[in-house]
Amino acid sequence: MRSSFLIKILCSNKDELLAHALNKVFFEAGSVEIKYSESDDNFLEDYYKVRPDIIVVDSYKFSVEVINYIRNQANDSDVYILVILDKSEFELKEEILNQGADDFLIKPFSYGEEEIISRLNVAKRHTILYKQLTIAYNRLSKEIETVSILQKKLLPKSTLEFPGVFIDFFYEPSDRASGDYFDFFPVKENILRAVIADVSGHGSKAAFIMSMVRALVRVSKKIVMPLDELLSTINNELIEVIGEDIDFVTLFAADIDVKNRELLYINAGHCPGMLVTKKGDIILLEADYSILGFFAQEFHIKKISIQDCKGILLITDGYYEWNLDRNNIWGFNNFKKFLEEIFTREKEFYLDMLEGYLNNQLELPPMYRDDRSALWIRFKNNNLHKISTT
Amino acid sequence: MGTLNFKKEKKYNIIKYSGELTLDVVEELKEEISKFINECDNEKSLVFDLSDISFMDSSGIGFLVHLNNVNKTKNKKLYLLNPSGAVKKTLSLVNLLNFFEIIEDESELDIEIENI
Repeated sequence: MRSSFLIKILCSNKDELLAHALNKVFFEAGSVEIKYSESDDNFLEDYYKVRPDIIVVDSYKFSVEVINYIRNQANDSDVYILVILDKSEFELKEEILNQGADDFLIKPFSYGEEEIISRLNVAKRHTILYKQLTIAYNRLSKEIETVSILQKKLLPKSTLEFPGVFIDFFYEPSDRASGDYFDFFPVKENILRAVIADVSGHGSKAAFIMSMVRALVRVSKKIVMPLDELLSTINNELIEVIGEDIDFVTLFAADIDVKNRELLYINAGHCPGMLVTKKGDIILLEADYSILGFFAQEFHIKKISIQDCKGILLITDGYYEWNLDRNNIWGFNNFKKFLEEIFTREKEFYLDMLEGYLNNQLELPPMYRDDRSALWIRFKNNNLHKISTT
Repeated sequence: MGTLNFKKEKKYNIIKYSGELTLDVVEELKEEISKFINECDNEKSLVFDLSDISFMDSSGIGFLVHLNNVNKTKNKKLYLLNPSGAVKKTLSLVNLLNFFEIIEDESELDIEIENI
C-alpha cells in the first residue's frame, strides 16, 4: 500500500533488525521520516520536535513512563505506540496494552524480520487510515462551518425601527449549524410580523430546512399573506420535502397590530409564546396546531388584545430543555416562573439581562444542550393611533 | 444508546426503550426497530413502551411520528405504552398528545387490540 502522506516515526533506540524492517515497510510506502532518539532522556523532547505518527519504544519500564506521559499528560491518543518488550517481560504484555500501547513485539524476535514487518504493516495501515479520517473530518468540519456562516446571514443582523415597539433578539447555536430561525418585518404600516421556528435536529440538514422555512416566510414580506395561509404554505412545502423523514418544524408566527393593540397568532407545535402583562404575569400562547412537515392541517388565526401588556417573548426550547441532574430537566414551567419573577421585579427587560440572570441567579449555571433563540418585542406606551397615522 | 428490548406477543409486537430519546440515538433506533419490524413480517400492531424514557427532544418526537407513519402505511397500528412524564410533557407542548394511541397499562392492550 503506497501512501501520499508523510509518516513520521520516532524510535527509542536503534535495533539493527528493526531499522531494516522499518526501512523496508515505510520507504516503500512513500514519504517517511524516521528518527532514533540518542538516549531515553531525549525521547520526550524528540516527541515534541518530531510530533510522530508512530512511536516504537523499548523495555517495559521506559514504555510505561512514555505511555503515561503521552496518553495522560500530552493527551495524545492519536499516536500509534508499538512497544518492544524483552523476553523476560513477556508476562507484562497485557498490562502494556492496558496502559495504552497499541501493539507489542517480544525481543529477541523469534520469527525474525517477517514478524517485525507484519507488525509494522499494522501500524502503517492504522496511521494511513487515521490520516485519511482526519482529512475527511476536517473537510466535513469546514463544510459545516461554511453552512453555519451562511445560516447566520439568514438571521436578522440588527433590530428594526418600527413604531410602537422595541425589538431585541438573541441567538446561540449549540452546534456550528443549527435549526433555529427567527425573523421580524413589517407587513403593513401598523403591523409587524414576528416569527420563531425550530427545526428538529442539528447540523447542515437542520440548517437547510431552516433556510427553506425562512425563504417561505420571507415570501410573505413581499406578497402579503395572512398567517393561516403562510402556515399552510410552509406545512405543505415541508410535507413534500421532508414528509417521509423524521424531521419537522415547530413555528410560532404573530402579527402585532400596533394601531389596534391586537396580536394575531398561530402556534404550530412550538413552545408557548409568552405575552407579558404590565403586572409581570405571563399569558401563554400555547400550540393549537401540531408540528409542521408531517401531515396536512387547517390553520386558523387566534386574536388577543395586547392593551395591558408589556410585550411578547418568543423562545426556542433550548432555553429550558437542559438537565438539572441525571434524571431531571429544568423544564418550561420553571423557566416561566423564573421569567415571571424577573418581569414582576424589573421595570426594564432585555435579553442580555436574561442571559445574566440565567447564568448567575440559578443554583447551578445552565448546561444548555440545544440551540437557543429568543425574540423580545416590547410594546411601547405611546399613543399608537398617532404613531400609525404619521 | 440506552437499552432496547423486543418481545413478540400473541397479539402484538412490543418494543421497550430505556434512556433518553434524542438525536444521538434515533438513527440507530430507527435501524434496529425497522430490522425488528421486518423480521416480524406479520399483521400485528406495534407497541412502543415509553415508560422508561427520561428525556425526549425534538428528534425523538420526529422519530415517534415517523414510526407511526411507517406502521400506518403497512396498515398496522402503533400504540405508545405508558409514556413517562417527560414524554407526555414534550408531546403535549407540540400538540401531539392526541395524535398517538396512548395506552396507560399493558393489561388494556388485549382489550384495545381485540376491538380493532
